[in-house]
Amino acid sequence: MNDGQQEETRAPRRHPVPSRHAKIMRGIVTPIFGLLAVTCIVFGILNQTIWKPSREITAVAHVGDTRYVIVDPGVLDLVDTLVDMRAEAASVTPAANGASTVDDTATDDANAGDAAKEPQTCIAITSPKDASGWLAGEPYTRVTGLDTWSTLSTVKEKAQGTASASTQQVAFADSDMWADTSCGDGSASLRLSDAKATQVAIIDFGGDASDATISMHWTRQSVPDFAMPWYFGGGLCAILAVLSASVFAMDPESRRNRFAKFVKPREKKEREEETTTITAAVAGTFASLKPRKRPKSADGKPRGRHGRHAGAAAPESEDGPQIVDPMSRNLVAEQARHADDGPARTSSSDASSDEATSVITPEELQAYFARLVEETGPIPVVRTDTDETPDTGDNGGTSDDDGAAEDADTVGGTAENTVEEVVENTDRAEDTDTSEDTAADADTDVAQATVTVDTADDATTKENE
Amino acid sequence: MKRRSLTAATAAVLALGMTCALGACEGTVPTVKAPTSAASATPDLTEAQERQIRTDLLATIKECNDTKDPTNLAQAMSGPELEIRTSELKVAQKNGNLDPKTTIPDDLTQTVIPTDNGWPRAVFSITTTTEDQQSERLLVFTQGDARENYRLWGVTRLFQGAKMPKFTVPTIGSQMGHEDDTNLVMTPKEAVTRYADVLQHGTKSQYAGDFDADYFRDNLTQLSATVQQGMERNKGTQEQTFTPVEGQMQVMRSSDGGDLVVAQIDSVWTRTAGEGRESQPASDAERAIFADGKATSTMKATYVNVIALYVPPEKSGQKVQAVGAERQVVKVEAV
Repeated sequence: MNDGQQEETRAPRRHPVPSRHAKIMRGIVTPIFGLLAVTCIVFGILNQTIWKPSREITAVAHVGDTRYVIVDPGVLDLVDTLVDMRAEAASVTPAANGASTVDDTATDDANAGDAAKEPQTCIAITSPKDASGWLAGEPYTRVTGLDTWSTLSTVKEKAQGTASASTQQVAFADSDMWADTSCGDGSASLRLSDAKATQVAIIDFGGDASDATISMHWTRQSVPDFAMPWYFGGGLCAILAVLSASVFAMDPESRRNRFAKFVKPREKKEREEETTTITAAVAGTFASLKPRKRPKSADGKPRGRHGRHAGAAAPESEDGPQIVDPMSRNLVAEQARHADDGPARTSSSDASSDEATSVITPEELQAYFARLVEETGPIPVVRTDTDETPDTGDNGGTSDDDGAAEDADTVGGTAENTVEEVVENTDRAEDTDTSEDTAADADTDVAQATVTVDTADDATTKENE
Repeated sequence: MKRRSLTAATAAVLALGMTCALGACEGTVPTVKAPTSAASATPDLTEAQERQIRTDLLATIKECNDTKDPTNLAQAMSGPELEIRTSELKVAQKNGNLDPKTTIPDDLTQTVIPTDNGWPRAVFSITTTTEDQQSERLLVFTQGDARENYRLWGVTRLFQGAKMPKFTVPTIGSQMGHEDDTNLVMTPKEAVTRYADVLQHGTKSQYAGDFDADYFRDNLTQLSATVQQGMERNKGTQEQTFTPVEGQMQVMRSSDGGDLVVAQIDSVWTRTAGEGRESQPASDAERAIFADGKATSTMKATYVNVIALYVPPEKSGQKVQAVGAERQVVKVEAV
């Protein structure tokens, strides 16, 4: 008999046909996540290399018919505090009268009449109030910000107040109000290393500039990192792809049970196989425990209802021990026979109730009872309240890991439950969390569990004969 | 099935969200933030700007001092100081040396920069003592218009031991006062007018009790008494009138709510000799200014006085205190 059991454990494993759920997860969802992951990573690499945001931002504005240009507060440091400004005027009509003219006459009387003095283009940095004071009563152009990354937005306005009538006016470049200034003939450039939001730049072309260009060049010390979010998304998709191919591809109920036990399936199976061999080798006393620790068939696949209904267990009957089909039993005839047995029936009935709570394959039961009869003669009452009882359940050797586990526990905890009680419990379980097919099969399970013991009795009788 | 569809939906939302968020490679175009109200309360000048302005002005003044030529003084000076320094240079031309009182130290102990938006603006700076341990100078720079530059409007020598009011640090800036400021023991304009009256009438002035005694007033009283003694010997007379100059007043509000007022008070000193004698200049400066003028029995000397008054807050219980002054004869004529 030990040989038979070892034979059973050595039976070649068969890779079960994947369920539809697993097929979808592994065949559709996993590739999608994989593709997304690759896409994200590719985009991340692109954002880190050729699509990397430029450190150099240059924005330009073209203005005409204006002498003064004001860069609004908050624009100088709009992109970064390091900014280079350049103002260039293609042609400038010298002002008829203005600050520079006054200054020229005041400082250089000899050349006052010379028209050779070319208007200077100057850029100055100052506060908004000083710029407003200088521009009082003058039309000017405002640079209000960025239209795009390469275009400055401008607005033409006229400053409030009245133009200065002072005889002590100084040239634009000589004013005390400028924190920084730079002048040149026709063009001027100024570099600010620490631009502040409260500063403004004021540009004076020295006369009406017909076609002037204002350019601002920022050197960004920190560019936005668009690659990292892509990498993060890619990593997330990769993890989801792996999970889709493994955990999410598993049957939801079996996954739930598996994680609930915190045991890896392979380890559990190996330990069970080992336990089976030792138990069989040492003594038949432990045989009652063995089936309860065998939640799976030899091929490692849970012998759940799904598998059975799908026909996955069909080949099993060819290699393994003979399966007793309890459905083929004539219950009425057996009940009549048990009625004839008298006192023995009681113990047998108890045993059947107890056996209904254990997970024992019919073959094991046959072997056990045969051995028991040989050794002791009368069939003892089998105790079922072992330490494994809650786990092994009472599925009557038909299934162990499937969705009936919870209702099985309920049934297994009450060895003397009648079939009706079991059905009630099963109905409760159906209301809670088991799937439809599990609930539907509950009646059958109980019936099988009850009858399996009877079948074992028959087998014992047969062997005795 | 439920979990799978949930996972798929989550992944789809995640992917779509990331694609939309990261669609723009350069990021969104930054927008200009509206300036805060604090931006308008910034000092009109930085300390560096003040130092640069002062250094440039003093350099120009030094050139004039060296050449004893007041021609270019107007580029660096205005108001009473322009008159005073012009006179001092004339005196120096005659005497060969510039009076040591004209020295303006380069270093500062304090500068008071206003935060006012409009014009005219004034910056008060207090120098260190001079190398020959003369007292500190209070310099007042003014900018009359946005298109003008700062010029040295007034210089007063602070009295020894004078207690100056406290001002806000230049990085925060102070507020300029006005000649009609209230909540003071008297308005700045009243203070200057009354102080002129006290200078003219001494202890007989009805306002004498409003002002603490000060070095300038004491010195002037002593000088007047000395001259009076000489005049009485030859039966002559003397009269000195003090008149505040309209518009020549700069006011800076101190941190305790008082005002530091610097104002120009012109004075005319008329001396008439008796018994057919000629009235002569009363000092080397007057003599230098009078130059080759023909003396008569009456001499009229015009002085420019710049006085610095601290007008305390109304509830302080203090009197108005003169903290510095400058006085220079600018014109001497025989009448």
